[in-house]
Amino acid sequence: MKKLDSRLHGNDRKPLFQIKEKLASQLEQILNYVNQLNELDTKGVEPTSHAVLTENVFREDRLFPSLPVEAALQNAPQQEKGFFKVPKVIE
Amino acid sequence: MTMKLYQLTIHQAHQLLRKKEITSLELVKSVFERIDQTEPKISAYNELRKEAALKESEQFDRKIKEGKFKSPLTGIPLGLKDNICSAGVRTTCSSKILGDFIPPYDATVVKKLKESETIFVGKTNMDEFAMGSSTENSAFKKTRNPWDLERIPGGSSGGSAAAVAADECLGALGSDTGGSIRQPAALCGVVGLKPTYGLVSRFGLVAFASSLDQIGPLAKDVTDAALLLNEISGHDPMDSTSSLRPSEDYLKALRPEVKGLKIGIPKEYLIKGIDPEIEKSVMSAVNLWKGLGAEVVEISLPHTPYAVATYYILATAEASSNLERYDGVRFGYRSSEVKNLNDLYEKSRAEGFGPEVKRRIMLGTYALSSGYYDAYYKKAQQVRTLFIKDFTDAFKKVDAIVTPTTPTPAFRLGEKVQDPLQMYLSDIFTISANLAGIPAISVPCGLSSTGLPIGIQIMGRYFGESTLLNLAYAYEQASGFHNQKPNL
Repeated sequence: MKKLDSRLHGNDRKPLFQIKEKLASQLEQILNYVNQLNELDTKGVEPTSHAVLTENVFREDRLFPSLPVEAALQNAPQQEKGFFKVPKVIE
Repeated sequence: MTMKLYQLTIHQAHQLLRKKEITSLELVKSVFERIDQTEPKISAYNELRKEAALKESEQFDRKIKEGKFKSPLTGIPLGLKDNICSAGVRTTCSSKILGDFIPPYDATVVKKLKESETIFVGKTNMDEFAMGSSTENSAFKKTRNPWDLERIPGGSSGGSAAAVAADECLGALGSDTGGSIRQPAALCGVVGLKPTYGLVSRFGLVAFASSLDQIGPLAKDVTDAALLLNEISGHDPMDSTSSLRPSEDYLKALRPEVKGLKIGIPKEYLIKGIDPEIEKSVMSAVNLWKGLGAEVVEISLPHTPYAVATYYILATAEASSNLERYDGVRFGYRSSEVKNLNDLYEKSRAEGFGPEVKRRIMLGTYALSSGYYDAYYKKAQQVRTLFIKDFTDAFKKVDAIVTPTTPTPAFRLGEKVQDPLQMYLSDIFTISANLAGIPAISVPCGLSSTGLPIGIQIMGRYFGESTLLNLAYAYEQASGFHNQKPNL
C-alpha cells in the first residue's frame, strides 16, 4: 500500500487521502459504467485482438543497419561507457 | 479583402507554386506571420521550427524554379502532432515524461512527407499520450478553439485541428485511437480522416493502444485530405500490421457524382441527449446526398450503446502495457532524488505522468490482472467481435454509414475535466470505427446557432477510403461549408 501511495502522489501537493478518494470514486464510476457489458451474452464468441485480420509477418533473414549506440543512448538520463546507468541494484 | 497566402488550401498553393505566382518561402513566411498573430490566442503548437522551415523552403524553391516537383506537397508547410517522431525535433506527447525526448529517427510518415518535400512548421499540442477529448490533458498548455476561445478544440489532436482551422499551417497530421482526429476536426470545422487500420504505417507513432491507433490527415478541405493520404499511405516493413495492398490514387475518388451509392443511417446513433441542431444538420446533409442521387436507408448497428465501455477497457489495457517502457532508465524523465532502482521507477512515473494517464494505467492494469482478465479484458475483446459483425452485416447492405461526428459542438474549457466519464462519452460516435478498424472521415456540416462548427461522419468498408472521399467531396462541393472560417 505504501508503494501505491508514492506512485499516486507524484507532483500533486494535495493530501494523499484526497487524491485517493477522488481516484477511487472516479474509477468506481468508470467500472460501473463498463459493467454494462455484462448485459451481453458472449458465450462462444471469439475474442478479437486485431480487427483487420493480420497474419504472422516474416521478413527476409538479412542484416540491415540498426540504431548506432550513440543514437540509442542520446536520450539516456544517465549513461556511462556506452551503457544506461541506474542506481545500484544489488546491495 | 485580399486573400492571404496562409489562407490557401494545399491544392490552391500547389497551383500557384506551379504557375510561379508564389514561392514556397513566401508561403512559409506568411504562415509564420499568421502564427505570430494568432498563436498567442490559440496555443496550438508545442514547438515551432521557423528557421529550419524557412531554410527548407528556400531549398525547395530552387527546384520549383526549374519546374521540379517531387509531389503536390512540395514546399507546403504542415503541422505534425507531437506524438509522431521527428528526428532531431523534440517529440513530447505533451507529457512531462517525454518533455526532453529528441527522437533519433523519423516516423515512417515523417520520412515519407520529407521525401515528398513538405515542410514541418512545428509539433502540435495534444492530450498527454493522446488520452483525452479536449487537449486539456496536455502537460504544457491549453489549446483554444479558433471559433470561440473559451471553448476546447477537441482532442486528442486538438493542436493539429486548431492549427489548421486558424490557418497556422496548410494541413496537419494527427492520430486517432477513438476519435482523436475526427472529433477535434468536427469541433474546429475542418476535415479529419482516420484511415483503415493498417493503411498508414504506425512506425514512429508513440504507441497508446496499438490495435486501435492510426495516423491520418487534418485538412482544410476534402481534396487536401486526399492529397495527404496519397503521400502517407502504403506498406511499411517496419510496421508488422501495415497492409500489403497496392497504393491507390485517392484524388481519383474526388467526383461530384454519388449516384448509385447507398448510405445507411444507423438508428442507434440518433440517441437521446444528442443536440437537436446536430441532428438537424446531419439530416439535411443526408437530404443533400439524396438530392445528388444517393440512396438512403435506415440500418441497425445494435451494439453501438456498448462502444464506450468496450473501448475504455481495451484502450486502457493496451495503454497500461505500452506505457511500461517509461521507467526513467533508457529515455524520458528520471526523478532526481532516488534511493534505489525501484524508487527510480516509481518516482519517475509518479512525477512524469499526468492524472488522466495514471487513471488509465490503473484501469488497464486492473482489467488485465488475473482474476479480472476474463470479466473485463476478454469480455471486451468478445464484444469487439460483435462490433465487427455489426459492421460486416451493415456493409452487405450499404456502401457507407453516416452519423454525427460528435453529440454536441465544442464544450467550454474546464467543463468536463472533473468528470472523466462525461469526457469519455464525447467520443461515443467515433469509437466504433476504431474498434472495427474501418475508415471514417469527418467533414464540416454547418454551424450551430451559437456559431460553432458541426461535423458529419462517414464510415466505410475496410480500405473503402475512396468511397468516403467521394461522398465527402460531393457533399463539400454542394454545401460549401468548408468555406466557413473562424473570425480571429
